[in-house]
Amino acid sequence: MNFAPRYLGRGSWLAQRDPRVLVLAVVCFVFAAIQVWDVRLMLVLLALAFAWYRSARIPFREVRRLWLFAIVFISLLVFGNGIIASGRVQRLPDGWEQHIYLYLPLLGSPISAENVTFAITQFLRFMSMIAIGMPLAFAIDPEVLGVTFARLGVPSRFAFAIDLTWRFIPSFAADFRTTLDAQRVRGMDFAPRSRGPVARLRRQVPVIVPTVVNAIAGAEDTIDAMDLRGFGTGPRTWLRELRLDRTDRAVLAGFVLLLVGATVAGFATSSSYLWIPPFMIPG
Amino acid sequence: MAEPIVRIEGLTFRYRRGTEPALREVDLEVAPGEVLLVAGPSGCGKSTLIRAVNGLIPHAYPGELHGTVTVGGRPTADQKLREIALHVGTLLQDPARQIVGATVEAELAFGPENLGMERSEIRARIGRVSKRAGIEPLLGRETAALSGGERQLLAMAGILMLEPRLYVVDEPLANLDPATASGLLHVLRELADAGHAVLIVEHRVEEALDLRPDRVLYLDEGRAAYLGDVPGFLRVADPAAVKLPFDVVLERFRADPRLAPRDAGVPARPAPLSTEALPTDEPARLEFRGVRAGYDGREVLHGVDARLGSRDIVAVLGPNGSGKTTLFRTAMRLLEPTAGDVLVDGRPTVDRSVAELATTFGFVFQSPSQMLFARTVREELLFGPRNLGRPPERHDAIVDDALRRTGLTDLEGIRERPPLTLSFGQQKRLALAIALALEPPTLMLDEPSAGQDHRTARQFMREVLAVPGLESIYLVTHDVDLALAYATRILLFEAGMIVADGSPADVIGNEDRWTGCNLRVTSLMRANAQWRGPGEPFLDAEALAAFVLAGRAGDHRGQKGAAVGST
Repeated sequence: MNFAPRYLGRGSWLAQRDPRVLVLAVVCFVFAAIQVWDVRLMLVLLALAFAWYRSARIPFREVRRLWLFAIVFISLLVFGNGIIASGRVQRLPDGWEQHIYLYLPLLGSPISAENVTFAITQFLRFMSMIAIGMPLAFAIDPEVLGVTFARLGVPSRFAFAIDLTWRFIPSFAADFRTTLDAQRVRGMDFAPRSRGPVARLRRQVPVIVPTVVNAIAGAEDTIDAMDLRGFGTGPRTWLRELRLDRTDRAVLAGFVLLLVGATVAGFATSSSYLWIPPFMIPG
Repeated sequence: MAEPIVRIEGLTFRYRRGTEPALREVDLEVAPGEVLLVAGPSGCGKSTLIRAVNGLIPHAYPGELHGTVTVGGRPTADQKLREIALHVGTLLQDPARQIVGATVEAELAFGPENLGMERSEIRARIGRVSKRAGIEPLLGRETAALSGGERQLLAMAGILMLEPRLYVVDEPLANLDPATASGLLHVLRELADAGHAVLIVEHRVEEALDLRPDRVLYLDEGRAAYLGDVPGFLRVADPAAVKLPFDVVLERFRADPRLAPRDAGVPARPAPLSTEALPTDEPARLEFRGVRAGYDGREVLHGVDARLGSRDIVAVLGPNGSGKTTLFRTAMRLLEPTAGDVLVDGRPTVDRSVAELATTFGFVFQSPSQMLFARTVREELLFGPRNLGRPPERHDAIVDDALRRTGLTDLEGIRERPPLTLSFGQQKRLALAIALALEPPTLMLDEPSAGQDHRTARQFMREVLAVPGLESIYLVTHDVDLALAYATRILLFEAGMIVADGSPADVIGNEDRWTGCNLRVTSLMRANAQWRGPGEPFLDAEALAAFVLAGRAGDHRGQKGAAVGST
């Protein structure tokens, strides 16, 4: 079983881009998106993010569980926080009054046009960030991860550490799997039971302890192997060269413009305030 | 004589947390073009010697060091590791931990990149080295997807990229099938012939001799017990500690009868086990019917049919990645077949959980550290029985029985000792005790000799066979002699299919098929063919030598039914 992010977007338009573009695009997009509170503009950003994601041609069947997890997690986070836990709504225009539909039984929290809109906007924002970010894991050649970050100014040792993380996820997962099997043949049952989180964690100890102990022991060998090939003792060459072509520059310019545009719009227009669709306002 | 690449003078080293020196007063020189074999039992100081030569001592492993190690004419203590790396390349024992690149090219480039070489030079070297190491077909692949044998060759190629003057190789044969191991030794020999030096540490001395070493350093308890040519080494090495060619064992026993074991000629396997083929009307302990299975869409077993009896000792042999371990995983439902049926005592396994199957098959994994987690040996042993709901009033009896059957009761305070503080050999026995605590009639052993020297591997197998109450044992191994000496039946695997199934004599009778499965014809196989009659059980080297010297052997060369290589 391979748990590592794989190069699923191999050969796609996005995978042909200089990987620095993918990293910088995410940075620009995230900083742009966090300034936008108008749900109409957020829909535009979402469309842009999904167009970007589509261009990576990541097969849906390979990532559907990831998407499912993301949607469930974000839904719980956003709707739990935004609707149930609090009646307060940020980013409303000055003097705006909330239009309350009802109060939740027991909790007493209000459900209003404003906090529903707030939650929807947040949900769309997080979804767009995931869509724009997912190609980082699946559409960058694992061979150029280190050099990508090194060329973005990250020190070589740290840049290579990123490479190394991807490299060892499958090994760690394989060790985990072996330990899991070793405990299963001792009658360990991993079926979920309705006990508390502490009890559940304690049940995982027979798997966690050997996996971690082996990982630490293995890390010592890996460090030795790297030392013996001169790692970290002087200036380093990166075999792979990165070059921004005309398309890369154009794409990068587009994302920089997006960031600048969102920032300017935040000051000059109402895009940094929540926009409540008229049909949601009762009466 | 050319200036030595490495010179060690009066080296004594004690690790910071060690109570005794790991090396004592070692003197050694390695010259260009020389192959030096370093042999000795586990814990004799081989790994410490390697660390001293490649500079990890003193740069990464602090401790008390006396004497000097010079590489390229300068003391290692005065050089940076990257400077030493230009002279000494090291291949560690486990390639999976040595490979740091996500792709084959990235792995090959890693060393030269660290040394700041020009890109054009790195690319040129990748071309040369991949051709020399025979890994051109691997270029472009992700390292996580490589097999064990492919990883070993890639790790070796990663060292070749640095073009060091001395290659230090730590037990390169440990995880390889004999033919792949032979390919690696061939590469090392070529390097030596081209003027490089090779320092190889290896338990499998018989195979390492194929490398035609110029000298052998035999370490014992940190001291150089012998340093000289191969014939001299073969006269002094302890046949019980390192695996020597059979003729050497025989000569040693002839010269010093005290070395010979007393159980001369006694088959290594216990008597009650069957050597007969399983009758077709008798339910098998384990039966595979057209089983197909694999990982991530890649089929590994391609329709396996086999019946393993409840009184068999079955050894599964075959090349790396041929599906040997997958077969056992399928039997335990750790991997579900994509087609076919697996039956245990006549019942399909789909009706039974892994836990239920564990009461029939005690599965002993290759590395005991993959399962040990509890604070005490007692708790470790009771983990399985508790999972299976054994009543608490039986717990003490279960622990006592498992410890007694594995000989662990001799260790003082064993029940309360933390498992991870035991030695590797003791952990292996504890892993066996853990399996026995579930009271299974059959054991499954995955690579029982891996990570152990000749003496401890042999002792472990003898301990397993001496466990009272066991009905059958199924094992996967690369150790041909171990399989032939202890098994009543051999399953020969190749590319996910069984290509031979029968008694050891039957299976090794076809030499082409045997070598076609990447297996080696060992000196012990030839000797058994020579000295044992048709149908007589295969003996391990010590037992056969004693048998021959006791005058109980006839020369069976050329007889019908005599095993491989007998003419």
